[in-house]
Amino acid sequence: MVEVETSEELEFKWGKKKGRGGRNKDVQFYESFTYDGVEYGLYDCVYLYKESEPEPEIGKLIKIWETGEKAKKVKVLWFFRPCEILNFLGAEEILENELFLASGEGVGLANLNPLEAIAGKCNVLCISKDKENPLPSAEELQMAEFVFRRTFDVGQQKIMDKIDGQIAGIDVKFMFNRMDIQKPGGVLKVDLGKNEVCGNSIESNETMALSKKNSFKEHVTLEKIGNCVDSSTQENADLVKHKPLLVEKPAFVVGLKSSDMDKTNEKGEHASNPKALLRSKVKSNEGEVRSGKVHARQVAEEENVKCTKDSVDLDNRPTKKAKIDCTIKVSNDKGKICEQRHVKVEEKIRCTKGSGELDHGQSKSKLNTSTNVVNDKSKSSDHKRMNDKKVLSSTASTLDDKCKVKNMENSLGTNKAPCKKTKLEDKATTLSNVKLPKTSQRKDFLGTNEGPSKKMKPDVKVTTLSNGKLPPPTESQNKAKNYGFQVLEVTQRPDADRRTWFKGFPWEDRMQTAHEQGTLVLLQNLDPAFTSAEVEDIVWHGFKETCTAKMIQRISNSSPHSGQALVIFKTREAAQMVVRKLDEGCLLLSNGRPLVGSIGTHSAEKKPIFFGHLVIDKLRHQMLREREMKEAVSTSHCSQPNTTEYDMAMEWCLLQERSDLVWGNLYKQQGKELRKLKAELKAK
Amino acid sequence: MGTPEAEYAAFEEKVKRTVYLDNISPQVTDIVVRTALSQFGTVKNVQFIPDYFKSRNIGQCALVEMENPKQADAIVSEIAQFPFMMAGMPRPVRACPAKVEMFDDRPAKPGRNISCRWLEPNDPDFEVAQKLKRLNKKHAAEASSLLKQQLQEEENLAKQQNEALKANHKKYEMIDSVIADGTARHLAKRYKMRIADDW
Repeated sequence: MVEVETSEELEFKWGKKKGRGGRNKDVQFYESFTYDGVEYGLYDCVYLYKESEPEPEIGKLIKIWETGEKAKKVKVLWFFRPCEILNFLGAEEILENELFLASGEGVGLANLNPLEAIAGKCNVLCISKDKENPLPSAEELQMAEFVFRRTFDVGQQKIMDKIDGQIAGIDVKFMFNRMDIQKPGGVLKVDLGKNEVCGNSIESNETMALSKKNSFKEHVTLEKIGNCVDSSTQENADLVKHKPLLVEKPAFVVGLKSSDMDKTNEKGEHASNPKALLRSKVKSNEGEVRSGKVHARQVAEEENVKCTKDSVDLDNRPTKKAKIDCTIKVSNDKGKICEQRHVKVEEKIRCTKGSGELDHGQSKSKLNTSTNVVNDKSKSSDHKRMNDKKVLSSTASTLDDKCKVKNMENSLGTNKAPCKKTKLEDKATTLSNVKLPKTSQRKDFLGTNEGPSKKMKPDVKVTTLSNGKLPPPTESQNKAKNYGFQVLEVTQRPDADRRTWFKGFPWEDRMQTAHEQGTLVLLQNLDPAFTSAEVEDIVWHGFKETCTAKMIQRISNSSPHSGQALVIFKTREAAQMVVRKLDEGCLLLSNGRPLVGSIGTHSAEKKPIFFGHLVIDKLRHQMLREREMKEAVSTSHCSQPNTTEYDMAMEWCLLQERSDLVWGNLYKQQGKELRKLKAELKAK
Repeated sequence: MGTPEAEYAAFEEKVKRTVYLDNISPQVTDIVVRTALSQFGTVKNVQFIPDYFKSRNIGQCALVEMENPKQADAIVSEIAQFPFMMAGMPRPVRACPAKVEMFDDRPAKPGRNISCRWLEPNDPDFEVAQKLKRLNKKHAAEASSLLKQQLQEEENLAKQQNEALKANHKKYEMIDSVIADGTARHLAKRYKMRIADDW
């Protein structure tokens, strides 16, 4: 399946093939390739170098092929930088790192380029509010080099707010973010054991057939750890990628009749293409999990399976979506309708060659979960699960091909992979089906691979706490255990209501007094989106001190990275304590922001100077001003282009533009530095 | 205004119909802004953003709430196109769409989770967090020095324009006086030039 070719200097390797085309069928299309050590897939965003341009162009790969003459080509759909379409922007608000996807028909939409023009991968996220577009998390956004949410129609030369229909003949779904995040190695590598490279769906179907006969070695899905980690950063709060699981073959199940198992498999079968990525929304409530009991659980899955007609599309995105509502028993003993487990699968599938079967039991698990040996299946306390996960994440990271297989062979327990989002939202903890078989036959050895977890690291999200809701106690315990620190949930402090009715003196006066008494503190590095009340909450939880806070309102040249607040404490001691503690220790807020504090200053009334308003004759002006201020109407006007005033105003506009540019660059630079440093934080 | 969500949604609506103005002269008052912008629609509310660091010498900033988003957009695009003078010349005011963080009385965004934790000195993140703090301070310093530089440039431009204006003014005054005291006429006669009488 894999064709290796070496280019002159840089390492190059074709990836998965698509169909052939061209006059003599001499053009071979591909889905992916590796160039200079980086794996590129279809619809990845890349930098392209053009010699005359100082900044590389950014585009999306929409076609990859090799001609009969062995020339490697890519078709690139362009992104526009705002500066390239300045004249069409008008007063549109542009994000700092926003790009515009080309759309419509005309020059500048897409180009053919030699593959060698690619200079590197570019992380561009789509932040369109379109419901088809999985929204990226805050973390991902921070990592993203660019974002886009609108397109620029090259034909009409207009900014389009909506991304829909087709662009350059490609369905816009492919323009959106993938469910699994695209990162280096964007296309997930799905290896089927040793003998299969999952190239296309036909083969997958074969493998599915194979998998029924053969030992389960063959459907061990190996996944790079990198991918796991990547996916763990994905933050669609209520979206859990639910990959179909691998059920071990009866041959390896001791104590369970193979026929039974077969039945299970049959029953659990759904149209599926094992290699396709299934995406699902699994919502379940952890609270329902009770040890030793069969759980009634509703798992709502929304699966999107993509299998294109020509069976060449390896892409991970769905071509369409469907919903099937049914109850499945996945690997329940004896395939009997057992009960209390309602798995709602909403899925949609379009399959190639009639073999469209979604097999829950047999599709491949993304995670190799079988490395856990859990003997005591009926007691899967939370604690246990945590352990499992720990084992899981540690083992998974060290496993290579062989040892995974080996582990699989050796694994004799119930494998559970509680797929749990550690982000605790009030949306409910999502976790995958935990299988707790209770019949005696299964007591001994029963291989049940369940619910691949999307998140390998249960610990990454420690700092996220639910809004006004306590996380399940077990969770926090585990967290605390893992890290040995106390996470403080910022909720409303006790006397929060006070704020709503107690207005107090004007803030300026209080600030003046506070400054004189040394109780004024300036807090920095807050999330600019915090409100004053939230700052008070944070101070209460961090220092057990009450205070009055005021977020400094943002103005045009405020930093988008760091917000400031002025805080007045009750006593000078409290203020000094807070500043000292913040200086010596680190109070880390969500999103990796350590709080910075200093004693606030407040310069006494000083008349602000404002440059730029000129008067010819001071005397006359002063006389005029008093009158003018009373008849304010005459003081405002739009400048007409044929006056000196207009020329001067233009100079001011020019200066303003220049300053804006400088500010923009400064904050961009600062943002880069911040991102770089934040990436070093272990616990995100 | 029942649930926090509804309240926030209402607030977001308000943000949409609000314009942010800056480079406003310190002499400008609520009423001046109101009158100036009433030509674009109905001004519902004017709120100056207080500057707690008085030393900054930037002009005033204000949030002007209009009746609907359309009017707000009109102001932004109009003022972007034509320099708009408010209580002084020739430095125009600037208008941009308002942002959520500019509002003092904004409600908390529903569904946001805030958490904080103290890092122990032996925490692997402790060092990074310390670095982040230093970086934040550095950034603040960078910003304030840039602001200083910007103000310097503004001052220079103002000075330069003032000079030019004065020179121009002087020229006009001279021409005026030359005409007024008959020198122009004398000279014209001397050089046998015809000048219009209506000077």
